[in-house]
Amino acid sequence: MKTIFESTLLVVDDEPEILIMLKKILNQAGFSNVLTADCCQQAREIFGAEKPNGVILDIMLPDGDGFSLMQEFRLKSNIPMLFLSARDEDENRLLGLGLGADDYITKPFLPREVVLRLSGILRRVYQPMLTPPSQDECLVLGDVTVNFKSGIVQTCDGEKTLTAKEHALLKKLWEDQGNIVTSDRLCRAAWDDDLYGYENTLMVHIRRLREKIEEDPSQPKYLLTVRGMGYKLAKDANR
Amino acid sequence: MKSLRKIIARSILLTATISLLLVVVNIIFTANWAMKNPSVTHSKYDVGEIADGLANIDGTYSLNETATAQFNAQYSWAMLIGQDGNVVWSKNLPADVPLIYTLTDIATFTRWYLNDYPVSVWESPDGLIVLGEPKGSIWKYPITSTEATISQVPSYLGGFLILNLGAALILALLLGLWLYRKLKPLYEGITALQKKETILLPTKGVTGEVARILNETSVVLKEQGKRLADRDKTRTEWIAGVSHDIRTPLSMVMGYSSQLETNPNLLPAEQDQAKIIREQSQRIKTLVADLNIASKLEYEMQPLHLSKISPAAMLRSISADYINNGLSDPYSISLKATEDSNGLSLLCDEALVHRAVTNLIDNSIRHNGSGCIIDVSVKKHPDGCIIKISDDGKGYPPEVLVNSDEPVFLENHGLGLIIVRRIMKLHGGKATFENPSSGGCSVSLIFNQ
Repeated sequence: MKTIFESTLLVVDDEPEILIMLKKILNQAGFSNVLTADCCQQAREIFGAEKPNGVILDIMLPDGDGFSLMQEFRLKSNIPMLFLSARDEDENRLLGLGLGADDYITKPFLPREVVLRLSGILRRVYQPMLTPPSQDECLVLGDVTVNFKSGIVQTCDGEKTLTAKEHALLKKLWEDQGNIVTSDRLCRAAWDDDLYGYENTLMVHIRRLREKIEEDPSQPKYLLTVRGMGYKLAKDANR
Repeated sequence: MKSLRKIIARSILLTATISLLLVVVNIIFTANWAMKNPSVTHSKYDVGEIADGLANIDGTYSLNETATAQFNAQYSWAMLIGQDGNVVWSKNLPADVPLIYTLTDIATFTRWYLNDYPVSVWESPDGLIVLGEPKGSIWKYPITSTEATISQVPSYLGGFLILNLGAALILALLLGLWLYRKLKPLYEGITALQKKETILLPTKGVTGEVARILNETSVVLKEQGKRLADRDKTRTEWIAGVSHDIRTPLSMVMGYSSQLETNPNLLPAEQDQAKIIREQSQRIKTLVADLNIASKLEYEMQPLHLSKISPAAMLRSISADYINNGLSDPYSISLKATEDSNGLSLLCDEALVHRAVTNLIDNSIRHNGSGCIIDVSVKKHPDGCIIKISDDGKGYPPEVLVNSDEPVFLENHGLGLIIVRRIMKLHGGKATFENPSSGGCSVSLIFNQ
């Protein structure tokens, strides 16, 4: 498997029409190996024979429920699993999770939602294995390159080192590049705590981070403040 | 229990008052009767006066006019017994009255009766004047008492009154206590009934019948409550079932229309049509979800999953999600959370409060087609916090601004606002809707904790 699109996927749902549609959607999105099953029994057989790299599971199945099927699969393998739920009630169980599901989608869904969520979890699990070791995780912002593995920022002026907290903050922003990341999530990532009491600390760290990655820290181009909410790492226009 | 004690205390007081009143009424009545009834004292006219009216003029006796009138008014006969025991004068003397008297006779009739005639006597210079009344008209009985006894009469009377009062009070107290013992289980039963508990009171004794009826009522109420709950549950389950079943076909509609929307082989107009189908099916999705959650909230089938959260963090996350999910240009959302609001914590069902806030933001977006600025804020409030969502759009129609506690269905607002009100009610808070004078609309979610 060179990319996540080569992974073998198993879709389990009791509605044949949904299976056909999901297969079409996933095929169009680039996933070529999509297997389907309409009951627990069939799902078990395929799971055993084909060893899929990812599973999409409906919760209500004619001969059992998705929760217990997932737990069964979990004993054998650690592959990512995505739940499809048709009941709001399931949401509470899924939120409470601890079930080991990677994500869930409520029916009815939009095709791109399924594709985005599925690619997301597949990438999270398989990307580290797929990327050749020579290619380190790098963030390029104009003339600045951030190497997350070494924690070094390469600029025209030379090299700067990121502190542990700066590294954690920048990595969090990078994971969600282009989107607002709330101060609460940043604080959770760097200090594993609630924001209350860290407001100024966070601001100071962001300022230092800007000094390292921005050309003009007082007029940032990449690390932007979204007033009242948090920060955003703008996507590089050249990439 | 307090009110039962009050009832008992009042009944004791009432009983005592009634007893006292009876004593007073009796005394007044007796006194009145004694004063008004002349025969009791038997002293309408003085025997002495009549006696004085008997004059002896040269051996012939005659009653003067006044005395005669007085005599006629009260007595039927009269006689004068001389010093020798012989009757020397008489008037209307009945035949069965003897004309000669011994000392014994005189001593006897002065104390008792003369041949059953009640008589009154008076001494005169010529002997003893005897005035007689008809037989059976007067009850006559001489009372003899020691001086000591007579002198103690007033204190006896006082003691008698006090004793009466004391007895009445003690009886009232005992009666009250008895009543209290009997009523207590009934009172407890009714209190339990109010709390919809099943009661099983002992059905023996004076209050047995009432207790039995209460027991039966509790069973009836319980059954009724269960039937109502069953009906609500059935309705909620039915709605949940329908909303579940509609999701599969809706998935197909949304899935394929969304595919068509981006199908390059279609004409732009056709793609637009596919887009409309996709958008409308998304509306149905929201409607179904709203209907489902509204019915659960209505019948309190949605258990609250309470946890302590930071409202400021939740609002930041919601606002950021709107922007990250591409809230487009004519709309903008801004958040005002002061630094101290970061320290606020709220015990709530996070998913439901999240739902209430997004319903309000969605509402602002949906009802202001030409765009609006949405402001979200959170601030401390004496007993909790206030989350405020406002916009500079066209404001709420008057029916929304009523701010009644009972959620009303508003035609153009679907279930969104009903859900918001229900959620706030479940959290012991409330939602107030207003159109500020500066324009637009504003909703305050007030949490009291």
